Amino acid sequence: MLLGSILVDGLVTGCLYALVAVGFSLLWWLTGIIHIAHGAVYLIAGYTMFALAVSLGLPFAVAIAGATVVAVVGGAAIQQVIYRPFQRRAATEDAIITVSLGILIIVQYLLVIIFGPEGVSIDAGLRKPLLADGPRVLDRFSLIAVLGASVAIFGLHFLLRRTRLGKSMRAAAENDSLAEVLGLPIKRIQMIAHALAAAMVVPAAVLFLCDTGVHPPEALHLVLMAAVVAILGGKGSVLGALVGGVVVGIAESGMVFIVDAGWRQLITFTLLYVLLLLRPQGLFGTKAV
Amino acid sequence: MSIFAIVALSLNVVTGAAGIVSLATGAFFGLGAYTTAILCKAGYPSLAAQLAGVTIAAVLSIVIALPALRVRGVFLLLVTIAVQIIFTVIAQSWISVTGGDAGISRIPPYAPFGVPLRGVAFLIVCIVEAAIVYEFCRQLMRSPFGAVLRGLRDDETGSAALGKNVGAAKITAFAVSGAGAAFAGSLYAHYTAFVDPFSFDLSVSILMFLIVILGGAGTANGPLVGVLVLTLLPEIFKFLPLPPGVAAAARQLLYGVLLVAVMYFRPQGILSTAPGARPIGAIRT
Repeated sequence: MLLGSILVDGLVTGCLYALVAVGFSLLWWLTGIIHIAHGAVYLIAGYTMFALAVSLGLPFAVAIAGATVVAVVGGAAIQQVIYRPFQRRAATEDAIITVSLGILIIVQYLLVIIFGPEGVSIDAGLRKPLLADGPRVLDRFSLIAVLGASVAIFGLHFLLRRTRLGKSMRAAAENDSLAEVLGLPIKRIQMIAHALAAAMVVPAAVLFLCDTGVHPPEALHLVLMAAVVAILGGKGSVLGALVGGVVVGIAESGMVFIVDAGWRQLITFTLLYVLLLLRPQGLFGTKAV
Repeated sequence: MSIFAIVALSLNVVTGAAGIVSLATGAFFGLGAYTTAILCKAGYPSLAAQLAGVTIAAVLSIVIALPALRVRGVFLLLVTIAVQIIFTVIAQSWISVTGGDAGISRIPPYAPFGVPLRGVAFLIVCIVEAAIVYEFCRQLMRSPFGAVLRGLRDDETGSAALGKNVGAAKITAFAVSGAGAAFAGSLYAHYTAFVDPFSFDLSVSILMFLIVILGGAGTANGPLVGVLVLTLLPEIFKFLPLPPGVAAAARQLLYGVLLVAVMYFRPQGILSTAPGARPIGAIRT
């Protein structure tokens, strides 16, 4: 029973992680940017949702739509306004990652100043056990999280594999200058990728909001987790992100059970360290780094 | 401020000379502080505690830098961020040793020669030690080892092709830097007589990184300028009528803005003589 609880809890958290990580992984693969500001997009989505659904009292569906729009615009704006000038000057990877971190910090502390440091959450009453004798963590929330994440991730996988847009994205990731020479609108593709990544974060932000809440200081942990997942699952691999997310989720929830809640981040970063030391190309990757 | 100068000078070895961005400085700083706090409270002399902290930090730096043998640039940066967060987690959660969020208080004053130093005497000792670290770093940059570090910053593949042991150089740079930060951390613990996890979190690492790049990474005097600017600048907030929580957040916000602005307007720093086209911390991958 206990093992069941750990597995279910890990799976649910893992699915939410995968939603955050898949966009991060996509952008890393496609644009070569370590998008630490992805955490900022996550926070923006969560706080917009909170502002619309609680402060303004709008219906849930409307609030989700609003949060999606704001997040997508925010994600695309980060690419257009912030990253673009740096890319134009051929800034180094380290410069861009530093800027990205700066953006995350700015958003984090703006939110702290406006809303206070406690973070926000919504009690939607989703946390009630489904089965009287089943594991307690098996509730409506878990079902929605797992189903929602699977639909979103398989949808993205389909988009990348089967549509024209996906094909041009793969071409751009493979060799962006060649793709540009062949007439692909690289800049637009990169912007669309940012918008997609932002859209994938929204369900994760909404679900975290209904569970433990969205807290500004957690955003960095989430992004680093996404980096672990992206390396684990292979950069740009959508299904890899799902697998990686679930692995990290279960590892963390196991850690919480064995030691204590405070230690859960330890396992993620130990994983990152071991991975980079032993297999920096990821579990499924073959390319040298 | 001279304590921060020591930290910044040591980070300059890694970030400035070798061109590796490290965001784990706060962790090593904290490691030195906590080692001093724990050992001094257990009755050990402060020099022994300081040396212990420095040794632990150096060894740990080497362990952290090991992935540097296999991966480059951004991966290493991710590792340092991870190390920083792990340090904070351990400091917060290993309550029996670190005191958790409450930290460790009533640390005895610095007594390198058996006489406790307070006030002005302590300040003088700090300045003297900072000067020693400064001179040490300057000599290090001028030495053949410094040349190897600059070589791998500017062209890693080229350095390797010339037969330089790139991996070993990186790891040594990390060890020196970690040891320096821990040395300063020990002084810090004596100075404030109190350590807690929040004094050594990621924002400290970012502050140190900003100090180094703002002053001009790789230059001997750059970190000193950076320390001057960045420790005085947040003092402005003390004059504004802000509630305490907001003031702290505003300070962090300022660091974030600076991070973006510096990268945008003057990535080579205030004092640097490097051409503007080559942003600092550049690692060609």
